[in-house]
Parts: sequence; C-alpha cells; structure tokens
Amino acid sequence: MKKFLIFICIVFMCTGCWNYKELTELGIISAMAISKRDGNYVIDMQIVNIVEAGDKGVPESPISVMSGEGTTVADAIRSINMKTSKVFFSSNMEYMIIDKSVTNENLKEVLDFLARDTKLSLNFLIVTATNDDPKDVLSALSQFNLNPASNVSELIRRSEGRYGASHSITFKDYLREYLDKGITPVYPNIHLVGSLEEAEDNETLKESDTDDYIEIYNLVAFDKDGNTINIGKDESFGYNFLTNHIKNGSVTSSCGDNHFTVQTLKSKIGFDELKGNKITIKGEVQAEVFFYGCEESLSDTKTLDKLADLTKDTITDYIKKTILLAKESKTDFIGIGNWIYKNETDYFDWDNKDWDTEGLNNIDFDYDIEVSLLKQGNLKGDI
Amino acid sequence: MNRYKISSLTFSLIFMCMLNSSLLGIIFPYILHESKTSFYISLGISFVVGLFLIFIYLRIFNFMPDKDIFKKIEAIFPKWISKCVSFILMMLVFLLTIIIIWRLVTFISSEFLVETPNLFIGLLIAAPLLYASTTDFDVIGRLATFCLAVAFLLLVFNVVSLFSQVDMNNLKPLLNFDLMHTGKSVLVFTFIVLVPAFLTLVIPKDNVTNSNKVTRSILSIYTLEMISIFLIFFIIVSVLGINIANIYTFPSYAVLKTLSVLSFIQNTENISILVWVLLMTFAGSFCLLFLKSGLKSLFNFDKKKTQLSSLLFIFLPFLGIVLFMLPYEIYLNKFQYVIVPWAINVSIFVILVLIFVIGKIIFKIKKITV
Repeated sequence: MKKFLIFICIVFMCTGCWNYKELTELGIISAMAISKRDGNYVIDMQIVNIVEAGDKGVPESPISVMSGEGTTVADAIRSINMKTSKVFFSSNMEYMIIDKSVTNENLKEVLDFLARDTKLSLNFLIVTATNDDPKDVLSALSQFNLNPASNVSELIRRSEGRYGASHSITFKDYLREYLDKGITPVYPNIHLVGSLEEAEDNETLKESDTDDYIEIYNLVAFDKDGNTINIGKDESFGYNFLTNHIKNGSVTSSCGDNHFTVQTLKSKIGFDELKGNKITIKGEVQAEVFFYGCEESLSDTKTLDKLADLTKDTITDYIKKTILLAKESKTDFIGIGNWIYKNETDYFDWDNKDWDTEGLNNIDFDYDIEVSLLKQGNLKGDI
Repeated sequence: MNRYKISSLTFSLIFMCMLNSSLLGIIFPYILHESKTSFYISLGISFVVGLFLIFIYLRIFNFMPDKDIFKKIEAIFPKWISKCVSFILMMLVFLLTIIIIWRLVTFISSEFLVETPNLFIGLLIAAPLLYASTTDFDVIGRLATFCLAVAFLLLVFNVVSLFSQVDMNNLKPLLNFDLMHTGKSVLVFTFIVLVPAFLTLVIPKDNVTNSNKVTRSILSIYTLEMISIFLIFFIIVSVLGINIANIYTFPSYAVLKTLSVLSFIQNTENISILVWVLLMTFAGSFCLLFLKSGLKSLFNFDKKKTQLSSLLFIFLPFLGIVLFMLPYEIYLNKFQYVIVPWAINVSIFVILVLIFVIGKIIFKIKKITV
C-alpha cells in the first residue's frame, strides 16, 4: 500500500503537465537580429509559421518578422510580447545577425544576454549584414527551403567547406574569440540582392527565376571602434587556409594567359614556431585538378609539379594578403596574437599592452607550404 | 539494520557514487576558475593527495570491522560523549545533504524547469529520496550499480559525441598555474570530492562479503573515477575553451549544449545531464540513510520510530532548501559555494580522524586488541 501511494505520487509529479505549452502557442524563433538605434536596442525576430506548401504553392508566408525596442536587449525582446500572444522558443534558432551598431562597446551587453539565456543553444551561427537593414534580411524568403533561416545557415556552412571564401562561426566560437586574447571574430556578411518587396513576397516562390535572394557578400571584421574591415575574396581564402576551415575549396591560378583550378582534398596550414619576431607558417595542401585550361600537356609529370608550385604561390599569396590586411587595419582577425598567447605567452605583455596596435605589426613571417596534386579527375591527361 | 550483506564491488560502487556528489556546480566551476588550463596539474596532485585520504579511510574502515561508525563511537567514548560526537557528526552530514540537494535543485530550477515553482521541484526530488530512505544499504547498493551503469553509458555517449569538437589549442597555455591557486584547488578538490565517500563508513566491514578485496576495489574505483573526472575536464576545456568554461555556473551542462551528433541529434543536453541528477540524488539518499542509522544509534529507536524520524529528517532539509536557500542562489557566489561545503567536509574528516586516533589510543591504553 505504501509503495502504491508513493507510486501514485510520482506518477502525478512526472506527467510533465505543469505549465505546459501547446505547439501552436509557441513562437519558434528561427533567426534574430540585434542592432542599436537612437540609444535603444532593436530586436528583430524571424518566427516560423507552421504552414504546408500545397498544390497551389505556399498559401501564406512561412515566417513572420517582428521587432521590439528597449534600453537593454532583454527589454527589447520582452517588448515584443506586446505585439504577439506567442511564447518565444529560442532553442532552434539558426542564426543571429549582429549589426555593426552593436559591435563596439555594446557587444558585451549583447553577449551577456545571449550567454545568460538558459534556453539558447551554443550552436547557432553569428552573421552580420553591413549593407542592409537586418530586418530586411530576415524578411526575405527562400526558394530552396520553406524556412529561410535554415537556407541561410546551410548556405554559410556549405560555401565555407565547398568554396572557401565564406566562414561559419557558431556562437560558441564567437564567444571564445571575443573572450580570448589576441583575436577578433570574423563574420560572414550576408546581403539581400534585389528588392525587399519581391524577396518577401510569396508569389516569387512560384517562379523559377528570381533576382531577389540572400547571398554571402564577403567576410568582415570590426575594429575596436566598430569600423568595418572588408575582407575580400582573396583574403577570405587566405583566412580560411590559415585557420583550416577549408575542406573542398577551389583555388584558381593562372598559367600564362590561361587558368586552371584545383580542388583541395586536405589542407592543414598553421603557425609553426616563433623565432625572434618571425613566425613560420607551415602546412600541406593536397588537391586534385578540377579544371585545366593551360597549354602544357598534363600527361607530363613536370606539368603537375609546375601546377603544384603555381597553386602553392597562389595560396601563399592569399595568406600574405590576409596578413597585410590585418596589419593595415590593426585588427588581428586571424588570431596570430592568440597563437602567440597560447604558445609563447611571455613574448608579449598581454595585461598592459594592446596587441593589435603594439604587437601585431612587429611580427614577420616565413612560408613553408607544400602542395601536392593527387588526382586529375576523369581524364588521364587533357583534351 | 546490520543484517544485510553487500559485495566488495557493490560497496566500491557506492563509494564511487559518493565521489560524484559535489562535482556539478561546485568542483567543476571552482577548479576551472582556480587552475584554468592547468587543471591537469591540480588533478594529478589531487589524485596523490587523495590516495593519502583513502589510506586514512581504509584504516578507519578496518578498525573494529564488526561496527559501523556510530557503534565505533559508542565503543570508544563514554555514553554521553559518544552521543554528542554522533550528534555533531550527524549535524554535519545533515548540512552536507542540504548542500548536495540544494545544488541539485538550483541546477534543475535554473536550467531545466525555469518556470516551475521551487516547491514543486523540491517535492519531485523528495519522492525518490523518500523511497530510498525507507530501504537498507543492500538496496542502495543495487541503486548505485544502476546509477553508475547509466552514468557510464551517458559519459561514453557524451564523450564520443563531443570528441569531434575537441580543439587541442584550447588547452593552451599548458603551464598556466601558480602554487597558490594550485594548492587551493587541490585542497578543495580532495576534501569536497573524497569526504562524502567517507560516509560509507556507516557500513561495517563485516557486512561486506569478500571484504579482503575492498582495498583493491576502492583503489581501482578511485583511479577510474579520477580518469573520468580528468576526461570530463578535458572535454569541457578543449571544446568550450577555458574562458567560456569559466563564465558558466554549470560548465559541464554548457558543454553539452554544443552536442550535435551527425548534425541531426541536437538539443539533447537535458538527457545527457541526467547522469548528475542521478548521482546527486543517490548521494542525497545515501546521506539520509547515514542519518537514519545515526538516529537509530543515538536514540535506540525501533524500526517504526526510525522510519518516522527518517521521514522527519527528509523534510527538514527540503523545507530548508526550498523555502530558505533556493531563492538566495545568486548571493552564494563562486567563493561562498565552495567555502561552505569545504568547511563541512573538512569538519567531517577531522571528526572521523579524531575518532580513529582516540579509539586507537584508548584501546592501546586498555591493551585491547581489535
């Protein structure tokens, strides 16, 4: 009898009915943007609408975008409750747009809110949109996925691995880079191509050709004052090679008036050792011929050696350009300082000096990168 | 009470469960705060110092093998002094129980059930404790086996799932310690982790079958536990980085938030973290059984009265936790939440050592061989 009573008590306690929410009551946040306007934080939220695409297309927008404003980030988010009956559910958020306006001294407040929230995961992506209003980016629909936030996050992740000029950074890595010494986070910069009116219109989803979509424009970093550092295509390749984010990236080099492209199969490049003020950048890249437009015959092994050397020069050039940009902008977005802090801590007075302005420009580099071409596709030579 | 028999392996598993009682929310954040990326040095020294504490534990355990700790006190001291010593020991264990359950309830209320009233969470934890406290040590031994089996499976799953995110650079700088911080972390670690396992002294050696194997089992279990703790620290720091690990109250939970298996098993942290819920609930149950034994010894209760008094002892801590301590979590910052359990554990350790030393001296004077 005693056991039965205890069992009954436990059964009632474990039903999970306390304060439960129906799915229809939840506002599932798929993406969010934080910016600052006139001294107030502005939050834009992309909330998923549960809809099904039928024979006649999508009957209603699969997302709703709502905004709130407040003196703190939390205040801004809660103010949205004045506009909707939904209970916000943030665990499945795909990405967050950190606007340029909060990348200076306000960033600490933003990160405090994101890290403190017990419901947020640490795996969502951090992006920025320097050319657009974040709300416009959140409002754009996608032809490839009913949930446009999933499309953007997949776009960033895939383009990083398969092209090499993008970079995906999760909140965990972003927070670590913010807290670590000698490194500044790099953001993928997304951009709305075309007009907002077309991009947010359901009717455009029925068309096969659209000029209105979200693309990854480039990579950017922000210096201590919040100024934008645009990282170009070559520098983005250099950054990804140096930070080992490239999986199957493509590298195009010139051979006289023509070009050839290799696809990387494996790439491992990093800082090797610090001697005096000089760091050796050492690494190995394995690749395959992806496109060949040069005149020399590929059947000749010397040609393959030459292509490997040309690819090596291209990659080295990418890396040099990246380092130059970091030095010129006095912002170590590559993490050179972080590597020194972790491996040669005593080299620099981290507590009393500013690495970006007093340390970064004193470092020189040696390059020791090996490229080997392992495959050449279907063809045994060239056409 | 002493009719049960448990094997040396089961006894060691109870010992192991008790070693885990204060890791979540107390030891993990404190060691990461003090030792930073040099946690492995602190753990290495703690392992050696811990061996010394285990040596003391085994000496006490082997002393008067037919008696539990309360009977040992009765045998060593005059009647009233023995009652006072038992009472002080029980009060300290009572406080330790409150600390363990308070940390468990605050963890649940701040991470899982944010909107659920504290009273409800308290009652939720009370139910299994209530049931466990009505059983005996052989039953709790089987519970320890179950808890550790689940814990082992979850640990393997978590480590394997998170291993792809390990970044060895996050473990650098490797030498990031000074004597002061390392010493503090060693002292805190050894006492807070090991002393709760000393409560297994409530089980007399003679109640353990093949008790000659206890020493070997305890040492093996202790080594295994230290390897597991090292592995957890390694995963936390190498996945999150020391700076992120340091800002969270529950870094072992934060690291599970990054868990993603084959890109589709995500948000499973609430299942993975059950390992701590189980082990801390077990520790709470064992502490209550310790108190129940103490009550029986102190007041010579018969079985029925013992049940009633044990019920009383279950709800008193919960009243304390739910109605008083829980709302004040924010004031118990990182130093206070370590100092209080550390002081309690050190006090328990000192009392147990004194009992043993005085017992040895008294028996030597009386020339009684035990």
